[in-house]
Order: sequence, then C-alpha cells, then structure tokens
Amino acid sequence: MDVKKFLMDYYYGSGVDETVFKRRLSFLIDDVLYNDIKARVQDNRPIIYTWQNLSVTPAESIAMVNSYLGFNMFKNGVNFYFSNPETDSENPVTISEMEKKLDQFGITHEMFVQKSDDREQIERTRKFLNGEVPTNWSLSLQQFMRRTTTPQDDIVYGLLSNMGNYSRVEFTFRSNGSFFIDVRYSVLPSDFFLDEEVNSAYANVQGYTIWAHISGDCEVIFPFDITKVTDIQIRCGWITDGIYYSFNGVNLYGTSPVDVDISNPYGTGGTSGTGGGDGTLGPGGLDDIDPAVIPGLPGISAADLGFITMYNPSVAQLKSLSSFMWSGAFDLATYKKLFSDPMQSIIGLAIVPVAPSTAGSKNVHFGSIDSGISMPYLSTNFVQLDCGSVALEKYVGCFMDNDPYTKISIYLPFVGIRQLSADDVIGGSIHVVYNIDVLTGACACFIEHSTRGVLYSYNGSCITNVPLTSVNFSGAIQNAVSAVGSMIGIAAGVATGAAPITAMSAVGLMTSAANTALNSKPSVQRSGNLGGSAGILSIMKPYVIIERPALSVPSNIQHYAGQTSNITMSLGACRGFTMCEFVHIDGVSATSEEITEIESLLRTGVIL
Amino acid sequence: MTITLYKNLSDKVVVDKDITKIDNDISGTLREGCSIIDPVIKFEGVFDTHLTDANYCYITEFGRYYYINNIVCVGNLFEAHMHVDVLKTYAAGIRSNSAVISRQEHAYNLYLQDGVFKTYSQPHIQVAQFPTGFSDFEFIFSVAGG
Repeated sequence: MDVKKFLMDYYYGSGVDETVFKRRLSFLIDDVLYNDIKARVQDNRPIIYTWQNLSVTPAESIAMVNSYLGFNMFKNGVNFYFSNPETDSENPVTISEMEKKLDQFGITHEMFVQKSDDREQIERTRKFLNGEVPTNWSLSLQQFMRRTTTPQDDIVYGLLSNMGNYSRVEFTFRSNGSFFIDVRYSVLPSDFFLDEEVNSAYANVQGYTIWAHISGDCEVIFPFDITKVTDIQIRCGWITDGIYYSFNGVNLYGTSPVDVDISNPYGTGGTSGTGGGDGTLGPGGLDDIDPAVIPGLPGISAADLGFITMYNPSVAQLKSLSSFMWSGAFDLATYKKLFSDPMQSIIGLAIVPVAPSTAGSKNVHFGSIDSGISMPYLSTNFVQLDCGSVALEKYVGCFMDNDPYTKISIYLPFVGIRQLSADDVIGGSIHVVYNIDVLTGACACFIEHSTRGVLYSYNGSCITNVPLTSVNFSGAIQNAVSAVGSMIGIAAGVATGAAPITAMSAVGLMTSAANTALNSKPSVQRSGNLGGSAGILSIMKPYVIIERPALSVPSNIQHYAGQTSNITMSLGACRGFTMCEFVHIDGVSATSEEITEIESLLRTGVIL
Repeated sequence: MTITLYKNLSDKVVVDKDITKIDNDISGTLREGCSIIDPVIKFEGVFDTHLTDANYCYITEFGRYYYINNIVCVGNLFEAHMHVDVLKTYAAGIRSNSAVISRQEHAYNLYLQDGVFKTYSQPHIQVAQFPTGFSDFEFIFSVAGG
C-alpha cells in the first residue's frame, strides 16, 4: 500500500503529484498536531494566512511539535526535523538524545534552535513549505508547545524513549456504531503495512480498552459482531481525529470478517498452516527425543580371566607354532598329564575382519608346555568398529520424501541388506557401528540416527573358523550363538526401530538368533573343512540404497491446480487458484440456486 | 432495462473477469417473463450494435453479470441465452467468507499427501557408501590357560 498516495488521495483527492504533496504534507501534519484546527491550506497560500484565520499568532503557529507524527511522516517526504527541546524546560529530551534516535532510524535531520518571533525564519519556513528547496539558506523553526490541549511533552518523551517498541494497534468502540483502530507507531506509515496487510510486527495488543487485536497472520479478531460496525477507521496519531484511514463497510484491504467459533475446543487458530514443503529443512526438535546411544564395549572380558588366552598371531607365527606342534619337541607325555588330547587345549583358530586390541606378546603355552613361540595376546575379546555416517538428504521437498514413496535399504557386512523407514531416517544422517566379540565372532550392528539415536540394531557373525583337526566345532558355534543372543538381548532393549530382532520373544530369541547366526556365518565343519566364508567374502563396507520417486511436475502447476493446503482462511486473503474443501457462503444476498452454484464452483476451484 | 455488453476474455472460474465494454448500453423494455438466473432476452432493432461480439453483459435491473452462452436469430430478433456469473456478481460477498481451502496457489503445504503428483516409472536410485568398513583380517588363536 502506498500510504503517501493514500494520504494524498484522502485529503486532497487523487491526481496530486508528490511535489505538491510534500508541501501539503506539512500542512497535513499541522492538522494532525492541532487536530482541532482542521487547517486546509490551499496552493500558494502562505501558511501564515491559515494561522491568522485560526486566530493564533504566527510565532506560535509556525512551529511544529518535535517528533510525534510529523517526525515519521517526514522521513520519506522532507528530510529535516523540527525541534527546540533545549529551550523548553518542560521537555526533558535533549537534542543529542533526539539525534541519537533519528540516527538510529536512519532519518536525515537537522536541528535548529530559533526564536519564535524571527520573521526571517518564518518567511523561510513559508518558502520551504511552498516547495522551495533550501540551498543557500537554512530553515529554523521553534518548537511550539500547545500546552492547553495536548499532552505533547508526554508524547514526545514517551515516543522517543520507547521508539523501538512503541507501535501498537488498538481497537475501540465508538458509541455511534463504528470503532477506531488506533494506530500508534514509531515507524513510517508505510512500514505499518506489509503486502497490503497490516504489518503484524507493529501490532501490539498491550494497552487500554482493547476490543480486538491483530494476530500474527494479520487476522483481526473482534469479540463482537463486526457486521454491526458501519465503518473502520485506522487512526494514526495520538489526538482524537488525527490522520486516519477510513474504509467503508467492514473490509480492510483484502481482509474480511470471519466468524470465530468460540465453542471450538481446539481454539480459534487451528493446527494447519503454511510453511512446509518449500524444500528447505526445518530446524528439528519438534518431537521430543531422548536418543538411545550406541553402547560401549563391555568392561569385562574373557581374556582377563586366565582360563583362556587369545593370541593375534601372524602367519609366520602360526607356521612356527604348527611346526612346533607336529615336531618332536612337543612333549606329549607331559602334556597328557593335563589333557588326554593335545587339541583339547586349543579352543580355536579363526579369522576375524577387525584388528583386536593387544596387550603385548608372550609365549604360547599348551598346558605346562612352553612352545617357545611368542605371539601378541589380546587384552580384550571385544572390538568396536565405527563405519562412519552417511547423510540422507531430503530431495523432493514434499511428502514424497517419506514412506512409502522413498525407500531406503542398507547393506551391512555380516548382516545383509535391511530395509529402513524413510520416516525414521530421511533428513538426517545415519551412523553405523559394530560391536564385535572376536572370541565367538558375534557382532551387534547399530544404526544410529543423527538426532533420534539408535533406531535399528541387527546381529551377525563375522568369524571364519579355521579347522585344525576333525574335531566337531558345533560346540564352539553354539557358544558363539549364545554370545550373539546375549548381545542381541542388550541391543533389543536399546533399539527403538523396526529391527527384526526386537520383535522376537525372549524365548524364541536364542533359537532365532542361532538360526540367523548359522545362516549368515560361514559354514564350519568339525572335520576342519571350511565350507564357505560368505561373510568375509562379501562386501566389507556398509552402504545405503535410496530409491526416490522421479517427479513429473508440469510447470506452473500451482496456477492450474493449486497445491495442497488444508488451511482455513478468508477467501479474501486468497490469491490465484483456490479450491475449497468445505465452504458455506454467508452474508451474500443471492438466490439459493446462486449460492449453490458459488459453493460448487469454489469446491471445484476458482481463481481469486 | 439497461444491458451493458462486454467481451470477456477470462475463464469462467476467474472471479475478476477481464472484460471490455462493447458499444453503448442497450436499453429497452422487458416484455416477457425472464429468469434472473438463466435469462433469455430477445433484442429487436439492435443491428447497429455489436451484440454478436459480446459474450458477457451486465443487466442493471437484475444487478448481475451474465455470460452470453448463445445468440439465436429469430426473424429480426436476436435471442440471447444467458447465465448468471455468480463469481463476479458476488465477488465481494465471496471474499468476505472463509473456507477450508483444499488447494491453493500460494498458501500450501507440500507435506500433505497429494494425489495430483505424478512420478516417472524409473525412480532415482542413489547408492552411498559409508566412509569405512571392515578392512583388516586377523587371526585369533585361542588356547585354554596359556
């Protein structure tokens, strides 16, 4: 809204150019300040003439009250400022304070202190107000304090001391059936309107006798039947009958009265709103999340107990050990004092896909027999492997970013491919971590969302047993499965997603986990033959497969068919294609057939 | 009765029609019964006007805008078949109402499911690998005691 033009049209009719307006605006403000005077100065008529008509002396009338409405109005019109605060003991505002405020708002201004009876200055003022640009002469005016009528001291001081947050809009009834929207602002009138709507940034419901207010969406809510109001006046100014914008009827520049159902238990605002679907990511945090974190490794280890020792040998060390065991140096008689079979002391030899933590090296002992072959030994049988994170960005910027339109799968080594819910993970990143027991080969795989914590956990086995003899390895495998089951039990308690394991009952957990482990791990026979190392022979790095819909969007589709809205709003506020889901036309003096046709058209879509 | 003829260039679903006035207003007397929703009005002696160029009109007495759906020549008469344009006629009243908007050109939320969307049969397939994975292969040799 061009407020300047509006004011021009309102006061002087349309067709007045801006040059004239600047001059007239000065008088206009004069009207406001002395609101009861109603000065109407014509072209080329000195302002002093008006004052004479008003029976006030030129010395008093020539001045303008500092700040107040004229202050703002002048910002875009005339770049100067009238003030003489230091000569007025009742005005506590100093020039420096005023200048500071003016600078704060980027308003070009000049300060003058001048005697009010300076005829030369009066003449200069007259020249200025008649459109003459000050070049080699300056303009000085004295502040005029009209003490008899208006609380100007308070206004000035209040405005300047609260300039940053002074604006507000108040609605008050008048006895004659109309009401005022009393606008007080410390910004330009043009700032008060935004996109032809009242700028909610300057609407403040704080104040006296508030009969209505403007909410965040510029929705004016009236606690009374607005249809009984005959006119709306937005008054900009302090004094009664200041400058005001007047509107016939109840429309306020595209806004329309809407019945508010105060019996609605959900309130008047509703929950639908705009702001989504423009492709940008939201700030998050709208849902409460107490994320489950990836667990650390157990604090105890089988390697600490002394019953077993786990080594991390090199190939050469294993070859040396093998040579030792099959050589005459191995004292079988001594050994049999403890074991009936030399292989009873060997728990196993396996290949694992991670480097375990070692605590140093020592000779391998079989019972009391020292092999004399030194190997690094493990400090713990648990290892954690962090595979890092992958971001899963939104792509389409609409509902198709979610299930079931976007499908996300993840390949996890030693687990296989699993399906993830796009609702769970899209718009963030997922982090994969394995907790591995190198003794049994059991591994627990955790998928952690960047904000929602661990949403999925799976189990697998990552060990490949190397046969040493024909001893049956089923016992070792079963031990591994048992360890997997225990790990899963922990993981299932942590997981919040749809990981298959979480749905298992405690009773069936072990069996199912065993099957899973046996099916996913390489088949190891007690004969010592390694049937297959599917896990180790597979891809060793996790990856995600994201299947996104390829949208076919015609250009400018919103003009022809709109976009999904589901918002209750005034039809007067709608622009362009509009299709209503529910509408009831009220207050229109049309025939019922016409009303039916209107509602039908609105339901099938119209262009407003 | 006074009829103002227009040429309408807008679609019927447009509330604020793009209309251009044609010729002078036609004044006359309604001699027969006439519906205000679907009026059929016979014009006599309007050969010097551009009635056939018009597809839209306003009838002052009815206070309504009309589409001219068809013009039939009956002897020396032009018989105009009209239908009221409720959108333009009651534009202000319509705008003063509110509604639950299902689809809108500017106020929308794309995270509501929309059956209008179409997709190609070939989806986009993106594969992203994690930065690291299993890379080391180590032997684990376990013995009792030790």
